[in-house]
Amino acid sequence: MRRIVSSLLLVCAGLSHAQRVPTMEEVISLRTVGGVSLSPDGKHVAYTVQTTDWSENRYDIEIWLSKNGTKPFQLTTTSKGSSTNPAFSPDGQWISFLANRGNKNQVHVLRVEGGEAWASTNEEEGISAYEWHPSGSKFIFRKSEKEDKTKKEREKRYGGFEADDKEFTIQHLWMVDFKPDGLDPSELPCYETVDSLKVKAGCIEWPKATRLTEGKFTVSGFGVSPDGSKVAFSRQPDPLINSSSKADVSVVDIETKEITGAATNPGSDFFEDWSPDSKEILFSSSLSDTTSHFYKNAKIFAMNLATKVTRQLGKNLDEDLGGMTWRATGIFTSVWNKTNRVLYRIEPTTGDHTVHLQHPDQIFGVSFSKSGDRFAMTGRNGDQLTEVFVSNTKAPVAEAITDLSSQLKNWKTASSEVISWKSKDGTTIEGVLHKPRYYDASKKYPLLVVIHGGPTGIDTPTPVPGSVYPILQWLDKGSLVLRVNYRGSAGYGEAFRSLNVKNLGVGDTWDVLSGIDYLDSKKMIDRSRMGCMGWSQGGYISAFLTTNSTIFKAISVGAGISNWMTYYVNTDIHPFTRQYLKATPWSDEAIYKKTSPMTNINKAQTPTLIQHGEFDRRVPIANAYELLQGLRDKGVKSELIVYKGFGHGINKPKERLAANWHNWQWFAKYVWGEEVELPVGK
Amino acid sequence: MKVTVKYLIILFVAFTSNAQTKKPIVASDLMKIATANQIQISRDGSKAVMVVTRKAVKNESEYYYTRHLYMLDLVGSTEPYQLTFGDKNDGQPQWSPDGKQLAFVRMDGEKSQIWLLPLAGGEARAITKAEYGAGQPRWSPDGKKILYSSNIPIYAIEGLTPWPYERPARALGDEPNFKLMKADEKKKVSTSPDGTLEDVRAWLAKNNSENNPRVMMRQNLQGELNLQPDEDFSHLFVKTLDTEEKAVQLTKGYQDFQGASWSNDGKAIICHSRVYNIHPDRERDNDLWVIDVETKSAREFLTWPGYSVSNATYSPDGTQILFSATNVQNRHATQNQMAVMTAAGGKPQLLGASLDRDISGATWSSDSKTIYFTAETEGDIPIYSIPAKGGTVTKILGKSSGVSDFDVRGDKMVYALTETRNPWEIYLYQGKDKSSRKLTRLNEDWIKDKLVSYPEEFWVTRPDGSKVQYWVMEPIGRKEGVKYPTILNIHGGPSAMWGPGGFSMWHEYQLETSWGYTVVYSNPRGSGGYGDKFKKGNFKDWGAGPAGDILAALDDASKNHACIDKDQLVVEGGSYAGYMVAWIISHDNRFKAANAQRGVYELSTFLGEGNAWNLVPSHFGGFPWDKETKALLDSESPYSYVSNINTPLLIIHGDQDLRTGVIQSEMLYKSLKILNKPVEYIRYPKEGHELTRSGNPGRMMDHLLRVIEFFERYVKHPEVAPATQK
Repeated sequence: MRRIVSSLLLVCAGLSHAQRVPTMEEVISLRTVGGVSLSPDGKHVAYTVQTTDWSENRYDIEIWLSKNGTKPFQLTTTSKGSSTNPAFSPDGQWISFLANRGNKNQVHVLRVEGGEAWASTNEEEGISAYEWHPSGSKFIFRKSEKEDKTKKEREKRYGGFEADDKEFTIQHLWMVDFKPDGLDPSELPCYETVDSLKVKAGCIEWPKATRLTEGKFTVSGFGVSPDGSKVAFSRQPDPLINSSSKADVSVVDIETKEITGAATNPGSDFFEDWSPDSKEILFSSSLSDTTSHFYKNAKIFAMNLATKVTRQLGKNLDEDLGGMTWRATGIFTSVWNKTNRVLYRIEPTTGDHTVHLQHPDQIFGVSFSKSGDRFAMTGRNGDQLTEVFVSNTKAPVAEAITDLSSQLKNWKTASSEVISWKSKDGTTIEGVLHKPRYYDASKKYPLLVVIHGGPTGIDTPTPVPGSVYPILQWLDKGSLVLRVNYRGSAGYGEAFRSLNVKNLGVGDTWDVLSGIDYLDSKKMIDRSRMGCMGWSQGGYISAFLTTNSTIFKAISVGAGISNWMTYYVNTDIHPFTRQYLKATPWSDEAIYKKTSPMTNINKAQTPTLIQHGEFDRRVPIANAYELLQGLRDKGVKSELIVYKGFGHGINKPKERLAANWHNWQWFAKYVWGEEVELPVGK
Repeated sequence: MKVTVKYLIILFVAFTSNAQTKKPIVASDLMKIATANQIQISRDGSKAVMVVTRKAVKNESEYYYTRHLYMLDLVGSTEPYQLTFGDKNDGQPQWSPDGKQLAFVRMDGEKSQIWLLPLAGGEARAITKAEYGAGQPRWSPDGKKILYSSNIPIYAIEGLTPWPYERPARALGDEPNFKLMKADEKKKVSTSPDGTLEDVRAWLAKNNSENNPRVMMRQNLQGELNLQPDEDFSHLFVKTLDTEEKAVQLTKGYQDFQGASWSNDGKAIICHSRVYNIHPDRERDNDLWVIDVETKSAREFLTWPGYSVSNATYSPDGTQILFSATNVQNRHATQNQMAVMTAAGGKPQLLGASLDRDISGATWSSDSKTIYFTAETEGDIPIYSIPAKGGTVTKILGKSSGVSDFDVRGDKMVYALTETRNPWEIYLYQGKDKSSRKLTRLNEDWIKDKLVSYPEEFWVTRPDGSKVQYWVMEPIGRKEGVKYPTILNIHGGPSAMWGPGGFSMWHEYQLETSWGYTVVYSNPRGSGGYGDKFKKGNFKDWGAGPAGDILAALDDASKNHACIDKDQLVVEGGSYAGYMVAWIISHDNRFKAANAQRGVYELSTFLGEGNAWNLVPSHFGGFPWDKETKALLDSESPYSYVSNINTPLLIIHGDQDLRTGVIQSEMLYKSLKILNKPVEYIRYPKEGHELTRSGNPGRMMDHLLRVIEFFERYVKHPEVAPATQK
């Protein structure tokens, strides 16, 4: 009897909360979880939550805290800015974070026991990264060097100019005392004499930072040894984006400030973590490979600092490795395994790996307690938004402490199905297929193909796919959406990631078209109503399809590459093209021709929307104008929308909303034959 | 032998640390003085929250105050720690009944709002968005609501005033209410300088709404720093927490509802109020009112003939009500009293009247049996207790010290204490063993290395038998047989009281002794702290009587203190004491120099220019248009004797002082100039009457040094003063 009653109730509940498709604003307004940090004793979890501030047209990141597994609450409120990088003091009494509250980015601290936050540092240049020293009495942090004064004087006389790749600001490591007495020195002045307002020596002052590293290099990642005596850090000759391929790992002694080289392979070496006994460091490395690291696996090594002997760990893990944590309980990292992301444990002694936890389906950031007995993480199942979980390490079971997914209650979210098919060359390709809510197998549906960037990105099951594409709205309109993990995507091993080398566009097109053929073979799609779109590398593949196929009614190219030659000379990552095409345009023009959308511009027929950020350096806007002009010259319907002030991503809510609408309008017009006005006003 | 050696070492150390490391107090020590008040003990008695005020400066010359909440541990030994941070002003903390949150008032921008600070961790957030600001938060007993008050300007109140409208031949609401309109609404109203009378009136009203010009139709036109053409009314609101619901306005209309607190069942709110049948500026008294939270109906609860009553609170057991009462029969120097009555109603009973002192801070004990309070008395401000049912007043603590703030919970009392050796620290008193323990180091850290001069207390008997208490502070580093220049420092009010328990003069006294001066100060007739009769001793006698007491104290001090150089006397004082300085130097030529601050020099004018004008009718028994009173005001005004002044005079005034307006000092200054007397006149921008107590800290230092520098022109120190030693 009781059972019947409860199921009746469920029916009622279902009826009273009819499901609806959310507005684009609602999708953009979703609160999302970011980084997570577990207290040293494993009891409290701090994590970041991003919300959308429409009035300021920005995303706001603030820190939330769950104490002893209880309901989380918002901990920080930085008005007009965000609070990021939460970390617990070694004694667990303090939570620190980075925020700009009117005086550059500084380390702020607040008591876990209560009270507002105050700035613990006062660095003129601002702080870009920090870590607690194990003693709890210091911070190790990274900041930029002071700006060169002569540059300003030069500008005064000669105006603005800059030598390409020669002018940059390097960052170094510093150390500063943390004074826990809760006094903000700026609020406690103290004077020398009656007639002087000079701050007197010996008064309460801002702690003075001392320099740990110096020289003609810049510091990227770093970590303090558990015994507090050293800092290991990744370094590269300059902060230019391509110099990361020359990254090495060094160690500085906190006492003597002496720097010793550790990992110095010709390819990139990045510091990962310290061994719990402070004797070894863990680092990822491309070894001597400087010509294929964009798509090949980075490997993991442990180095004994005394002997400099290295040994490789996790040899049989066929993915790009990084993000490692080393505790007494093992070495841990989460790694893509097809559309799942699994937490692996690597045995430090043997280097063998085992699956440590694979629920939820996708595990992202992980933070361990000091002993390594507990961990917190972010992750999700295919039908969830990312949540924060906690678990013990020995017999791990993920317990959610957040319920961000409750935001989706009553929403018509996307169902996800991972499907696979054989591509033209026989390679198995996977994709995520989203079907409309009340899918009818007897009908043929319009199809929209959405292609991810990277190329080493990946698409996975998710209830709210999107970014700049109104996918939930399209599903609700009665369309199928296919997101293809084309060759070169992450999650399928190094060989798969290498399949698009010297084959960009061509192989990718096979993968997309064979996916469509597969759905067609299942009689699922209406081939007369198909569209295709993507951003960055996905924009490139979409542009390639504009000029190399005629099966789509509409295409949207977001920040895409139109011509690898144009791209190669204009982008900030020149080696990318050289690695994938194995040539410069001057050494092998043919490969550039073979892979560039512009080569076949004369064959273009598909109405194409081009979306591009005004100041995109990764894929310079010249690519957009080149495709636009080609299409215009050929009389193909096309339109370019420039997002003012943006780089490679549309990272503000209002323009993201606009980009969604622009796609909605374009596909409505050319796939469904509907004119949609951009709603303006209230 | 071993023992002796140890002792020698200790003596040696003590000697060197005293002789070599202690330094005189200097002007900039002002910046180091921190104070704390608004102490609130948590319900469980384990913690207390307080507001710490510090002075700060940035960019070398931008001086300001910071006010932040701090937590005190009353059980363990955790050091006090700061709860709120930033450049905002925080105050009025209130514990939630469950002790998990603090409500407080934060001034962030122009308006203050109520904020909540969760004590489990995390930063504070605003819970009100009151258009006219919010203050005085009070938790409902169930912790679900917060009562607060907001001052609504007259133009935002609906309906007609209960008092006859005072704008001659005009009616309330007979012109567009521009002050309430938004910019686009204003545009829709037709106004014209050239149209019909209606158009012209609208045009004039529009100009007035932009305060260009201001239209006065009220009696009390002067605020503290600015004219206040618009009355405002204090109303009560209730905000339900954890909801998006707007706060509910409990009270409405042209009436003030103030000093509100919840009944123990959370159904009613008691406050003080009165229906304004005459304009609020003409009504000075209050009754107790009770508001039903559910129906919002407000009713008179206690009207006590002969008394103005206010600030009522229910006893913790809910059976009684404690409130303040002042006798309205004699407006001159009335003392604040307290009274209790049963919560059900009934006859109120004055409490502690036998003490014959001004009572402040009356607070219930947790068991509802005792009431604790402070009262200024003979230079001290002790804490007293009295049984709630009446009986003997007992002094709990306080000797040569002053309690500025306290709170009681169970056996514990947390209080702020001023002593000569340390101007401000917070202490915990426990009834069970009558012990006190210091909880803070607000000033201890800097003052431990300073040389402090201690006041010595004396009494002098006047010919009429009255006794006048005074104090002498010797100069720092005083040597036997040496005479030092001496400052006679006089207090204002006239009903203020000075003494070792007073905080406001602590730094000035110490600075002056560091500059090599002996300081003499007294509490002449009219001062508080000596009972009703003494306080009324200056009725119709602001000049000769009190001046006689002050000079008698100085003469007595000179007789008993070899360090006072009778040939090097200077005198200073502010407000009423500015008056007194001018009175003394227009009747006596013994002083080498004088300084009159923010004073009143011409009493008839004072009636018009000062917001403290009520002192004229209440202290002189009439108005300048009464012939007799006019003669009295003239004879009591120092200005009448201005041509007798020969003492070099420094006059100081704040530009925006509307309590005693600058017309007073301009009159005195210009007259002395015309008479060709030695006079210098200092005017501080942006400052009102409270400059020396709560003004801009940079200008406070300037003020201190400007007075000393003036005196330095006329005195000769027997040796280099400690403050000026290199």
